[in-house]
Amino acid sequence: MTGLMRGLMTGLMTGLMHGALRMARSPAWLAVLVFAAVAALAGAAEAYPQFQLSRDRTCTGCHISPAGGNLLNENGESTSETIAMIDHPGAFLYGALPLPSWLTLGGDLRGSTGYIQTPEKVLATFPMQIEAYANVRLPVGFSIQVHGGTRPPTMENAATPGKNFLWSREHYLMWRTSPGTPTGLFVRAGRFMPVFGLRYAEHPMYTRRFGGTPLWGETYGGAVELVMESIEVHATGFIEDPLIEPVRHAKGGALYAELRVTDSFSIGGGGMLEIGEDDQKRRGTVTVKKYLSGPDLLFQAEVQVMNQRIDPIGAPVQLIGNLVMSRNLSGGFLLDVGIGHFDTNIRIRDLDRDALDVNLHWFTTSHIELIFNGRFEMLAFGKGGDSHAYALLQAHYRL
Amino acid sequence: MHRSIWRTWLPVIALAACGTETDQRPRSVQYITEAILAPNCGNAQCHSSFRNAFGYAFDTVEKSRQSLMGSLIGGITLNTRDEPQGDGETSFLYSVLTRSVRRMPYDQPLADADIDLIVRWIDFGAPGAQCNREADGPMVCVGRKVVECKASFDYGAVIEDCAVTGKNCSMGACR
Repeated sequence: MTGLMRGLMTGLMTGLMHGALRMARSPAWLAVLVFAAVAALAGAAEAYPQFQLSRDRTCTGCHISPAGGNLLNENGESTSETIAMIDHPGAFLYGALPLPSWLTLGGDLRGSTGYIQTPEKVLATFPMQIEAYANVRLPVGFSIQVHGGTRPPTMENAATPGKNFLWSREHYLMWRTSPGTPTGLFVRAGRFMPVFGLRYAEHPMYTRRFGGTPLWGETYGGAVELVMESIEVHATGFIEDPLIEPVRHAKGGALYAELRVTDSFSIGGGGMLEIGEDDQKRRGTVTVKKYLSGPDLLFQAEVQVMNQRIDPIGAPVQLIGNLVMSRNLSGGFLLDVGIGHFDTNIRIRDLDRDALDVNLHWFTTSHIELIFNGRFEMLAFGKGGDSHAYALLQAHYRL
Repeated sequence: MHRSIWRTWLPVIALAACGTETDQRPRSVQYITEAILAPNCGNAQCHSSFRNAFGYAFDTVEKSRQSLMGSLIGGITLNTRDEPQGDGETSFLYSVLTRSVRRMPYDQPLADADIDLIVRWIDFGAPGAQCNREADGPMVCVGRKVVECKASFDYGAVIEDCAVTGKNCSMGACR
């Protein structure tokens, strides 16, 4: 472990120095490169599936949404205190602003800085996320959840100037059978991300980027979701967003189920169909999670197969997979080491990508997280094209 | 039904380790867009309809066609047999994908095999992105020849060779 960390830090520092020297020699490109890096690596807060099984059994154990992510419930706030190095109140604004029982507020601010090599070597600093959330509980199990924040503006789109900087990534009406408990039947209608596979916060992970839940892939739809201690099932139907230029150009549906066989082992599977104007994507996924309590190690694996029907001809079959090992360390640290594989067309040689991901989260307080995100990626183990890497330091503040 | 399922998934099992076929992927704007440009260049944050970075979007065939035609793929001419042809390796798109500075995609390089397919598609005349009937009209000038512009965004038959009458081709007619 120590050797690995030393190697990563050495690589990071060397990269930072090289990047800084290069940038000093070519300052004219700075604006373009920073812009491009912002564009490529911007993000949004999602759940931490690393905590499932190792901390709680269900996403709803800590989050209000049955999909996890964003707003925390009381148990989630308590967990944020427990895992942090410094024990501060986990409530909204550290509890300084008492909220009525029917209202939950939150938000996320993220920014990142670091070194990117693709293969050009650059340094970049950029904001990732400025977003606020509200959940209003209504009688008889209903609630309304709304997220609002900034988005990258659509360039050269004078037709929709009002939608260019601010947007609501998610907004939905939810009904649940058992408010106040993590389990039950959930029904949602509105704009949200269909639940499918493992839902990492890190959107460059292959199973997210290429796997049916890409960044800002939220769209309008309806979902019926059953979350129990031993099993959860999410069925979602969705349409292409008719109000803005969407990220997901398709209508369709997703079904994902996860069976927790024991307290420390779960297996899941599902399918997704996306019907677009130009193509159809049919996905199947299998997920496995295993928690080893002795060494406090969580293994998560997902393999997706995607068959894309391109009109008028073409049907590449893709293979998408991630294996991630997570371990809670002392002092509020959480280490993820993962490998990813993405083959964009299994019939064609040298189109596969393999990535080594290292994420070191440091939960300094219940509201502040510092993250090192590192990746090294090769195309067909160096035979298919240039390799790529990044080493980024990310700051995350949760309201 | 079962046979169809096996036809789809058996190659996955058989070829999961590595591809073995030569690259016979379709050289069409639909395939280039949906299999290569959309997942690699058309991400939400970059050249998507959502973001439209620098006026380019590659996440739908229509947007991709609009972005590709013209400066990115260069001029599509007719060879001696009146077949459309381009020059992939001198195109601006090839330059953008392979240069050492400000190379795209910015977040992860494109596979060499995908770049080769794009080059061969342009060499082949960039079918599906040769002309725009709605913008250019039913006839377009290709060199000194008047050529039909089909609804499929492809050149059709050569209608007239202006060189025969010593005229030039301008705005879809010999003048």
